[in-house]
Amino acid sequence: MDTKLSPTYQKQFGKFWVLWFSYSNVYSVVDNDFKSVLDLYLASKSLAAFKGNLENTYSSNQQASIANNLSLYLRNCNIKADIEHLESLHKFNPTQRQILKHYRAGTNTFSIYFGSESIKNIIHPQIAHLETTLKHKSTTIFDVYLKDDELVLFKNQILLKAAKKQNFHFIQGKFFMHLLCLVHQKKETDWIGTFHGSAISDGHNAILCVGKSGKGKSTLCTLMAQKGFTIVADDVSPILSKDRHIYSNPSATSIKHGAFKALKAYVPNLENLTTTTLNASKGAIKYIPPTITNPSSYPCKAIVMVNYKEGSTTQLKKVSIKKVMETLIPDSWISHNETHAEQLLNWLSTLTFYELTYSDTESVTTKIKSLFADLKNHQIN
Amino acid sequence: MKKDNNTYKITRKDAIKKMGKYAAITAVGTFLILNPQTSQAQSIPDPGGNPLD
Repeated sequence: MDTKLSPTYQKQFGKFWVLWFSYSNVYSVVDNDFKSVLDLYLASKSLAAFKGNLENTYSSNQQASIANNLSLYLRNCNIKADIEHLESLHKFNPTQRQILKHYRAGTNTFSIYFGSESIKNIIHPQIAHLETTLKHKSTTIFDVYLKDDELVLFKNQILLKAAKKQNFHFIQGKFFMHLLCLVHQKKETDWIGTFHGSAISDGHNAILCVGKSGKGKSTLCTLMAQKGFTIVADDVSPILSKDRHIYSNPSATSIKHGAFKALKAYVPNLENLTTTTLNASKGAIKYIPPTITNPSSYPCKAIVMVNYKEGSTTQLKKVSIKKVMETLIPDSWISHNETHAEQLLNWLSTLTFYELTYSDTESVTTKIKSLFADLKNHQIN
Repeated sequence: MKKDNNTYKITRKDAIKKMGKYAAITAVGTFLILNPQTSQAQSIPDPGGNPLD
């Protein structure tokens, strides 16, 4: 029944399964019990046959309710998310060019024309450390400006993205995707996705730190960077289809006001870094430039859900795929591509998932160091 | 191959309303339905005012 609504890919992770639906790009996490009843439902030739299979365990009312729930579940897994398309409405307008900045990332140069100072502030502070002077015009030119209530992004006068101005994070996201493509010489379609999280490396492997805003991801990564580790990517961590490695993101690490005090002792020059205020509630932000700007990539071996909790003792414990997916998927961009979805599921099956609760900087450093050592020695069971 | 499911009349909103939540417990177990972002994004800004206003 409803076989055309079946998941395209499915993979077991202990007591859970992750299912992927090609029509909608939905990822669903179900437990083993649910999966076996779902399989039975999909394999049944008719509703009566399905109910017949449940006869010994469930009452007639329960059978109907289960069938109804499964039908709704499958339909919900096959509904596409709404996509805002504003792109067809905009034509390039060179009169909006107000501020020009040039940048160098690795061996590549690019320039950006910003439509105003406030538009400059949503992109430039994160790449200020890449600013350079150019003798010759760069061959890659971005334009970002406001047209009525919409923010638009062009690359070499071709529209990349338009979004309502309150959704400026999509313009930032699209710009940084193209910056990643430029730095690593890739196309947008080469990436499986960009995870909302920060990645650190010991030079061999990477760990992806995920968690809601304010949970201490960037703070933890900044701390680790002062202890000899490398921040591969902050906030946006891209994964490439070809090798499933996490690739370096050249933008600076953003540190919120709340973490300034904790990091002051560890980050030289923190006080002298420019402070940016994006909006009243996010407060002051400082951007710490990455120590290494050469393009690099590392195999990711673990996902750590970061949870800064004042006064807590440092604890690193294994968690289920369900807990990780719940945080990772809704906040990340994952390409709607069957090959990429299959690669993502296979990649996830090679990882270990943890939750890290911390408040003390010294003990958390020791814990992460030992996790990297374990990953390097393949001692994780 | 893409499946042709667009004949279903139920909307996302209706489906969620009927099911109660994205995550639900049925008589037979638990499930989660997760939609990734449809386009690349930086951290979603706090609702504390728009820097472009």
